[in-house]
Amino acid sequence: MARTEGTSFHGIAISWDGDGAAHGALRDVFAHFPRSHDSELHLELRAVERIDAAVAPEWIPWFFYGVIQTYRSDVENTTLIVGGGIRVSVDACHIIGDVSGEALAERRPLTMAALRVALLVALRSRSIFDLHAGAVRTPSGRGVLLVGDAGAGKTTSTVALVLAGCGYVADDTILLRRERSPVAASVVSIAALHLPRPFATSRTTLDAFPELSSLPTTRMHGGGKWEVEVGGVLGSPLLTLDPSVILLPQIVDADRSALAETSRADAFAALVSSSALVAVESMTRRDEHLDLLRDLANHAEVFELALGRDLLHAPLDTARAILDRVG
Amino acid sequence: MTELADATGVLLHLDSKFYYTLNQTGLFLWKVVSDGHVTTVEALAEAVARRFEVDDATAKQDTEAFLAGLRAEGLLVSR
Repeated sequence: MARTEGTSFHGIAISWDGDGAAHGALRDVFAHFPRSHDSELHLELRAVERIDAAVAPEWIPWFFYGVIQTYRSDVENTTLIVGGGIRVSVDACHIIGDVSGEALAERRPLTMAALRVALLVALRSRSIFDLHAGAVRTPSGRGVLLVGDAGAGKTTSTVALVLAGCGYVADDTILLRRERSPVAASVVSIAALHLPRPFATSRTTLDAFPELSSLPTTRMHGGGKWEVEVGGVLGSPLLTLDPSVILLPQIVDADRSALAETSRADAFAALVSSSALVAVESMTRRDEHLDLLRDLANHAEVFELALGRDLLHAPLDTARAILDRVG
Repeated sequence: MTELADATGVLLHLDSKFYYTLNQTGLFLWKVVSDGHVTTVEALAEAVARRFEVDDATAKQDTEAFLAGLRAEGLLVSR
């Protein structure tokens, strides 16, 4: 028997219904957010044994995210997401569909990724955009984004910085939104928002941090990465951050890591290439998304972060050296 | 093309979807070329030499290399 609950997700009132495994999964997703009694976005998932993979011809292929296939209907202005154990339709106010009860019960990475894609598509109509990045707040209060491709060292750097005293928002994916000052409406800043998901990391990174190596892990689909729930070690995530520093990490063949200022063009290019949905034709609010990324690149200090072997051998010292530079 | 606050820029190739970052000289040259009033390599190089206070030979070499790079990537076609 499904029952409706409500969450204030970064100020957006999400009501959600889920039966069986779906309820438990959604409860975990929204665990760090306050309750709400309103509803501007309704999320309803029914746990089923088998997902119907057939897609009617009126659905237009839109974008593929690994094995997760996304279609759109111009008539209904609706998105259909199929794959990863999910079949849901998404519009501005609803995420409704079926999920594999077994996959949800096990919190399979691909199933949870498909659920996040559904949420990301719905959030775009509220001017909230995804970014593939780590995010931490330094002890002095500066917001730092780590923007780079898979394997660039985002998670390793994030864990090192958190163990060196930073608060964490995310290691892999955040949300971005313009925020108006409550005092002066003309003052607009960009906030980085927490998106619930486990850390995604390599075995090398896990082995570099004794604090993480004993935590339970789940192997991710099609790659050499594992998901790990770090809450027990790193604490609860910060829900929001004012990013003023962008680090562009890259693994290099060197003993020591190094930080060097770089251009805003490098930052903007990295931000765009780390924003998968902005590259999709006809994506909702694409120009607004690009404008936000440009303003973020213009607003922040930007550094290339060349990550040497010291990040694995002496991660805390490396993190402290980074913090000495960025403040 | 997106211009950033430090006078660098990013070009998007609309067909390939590739992004190209431009340093300050690259952005300056792209804007002059796009404007369409300056059409010879010599005049472009002269503009670079004036704007960035470099010698004529360096300006010409950098301008030719930049234009060759644009052509190679399909970002500039000759008429």
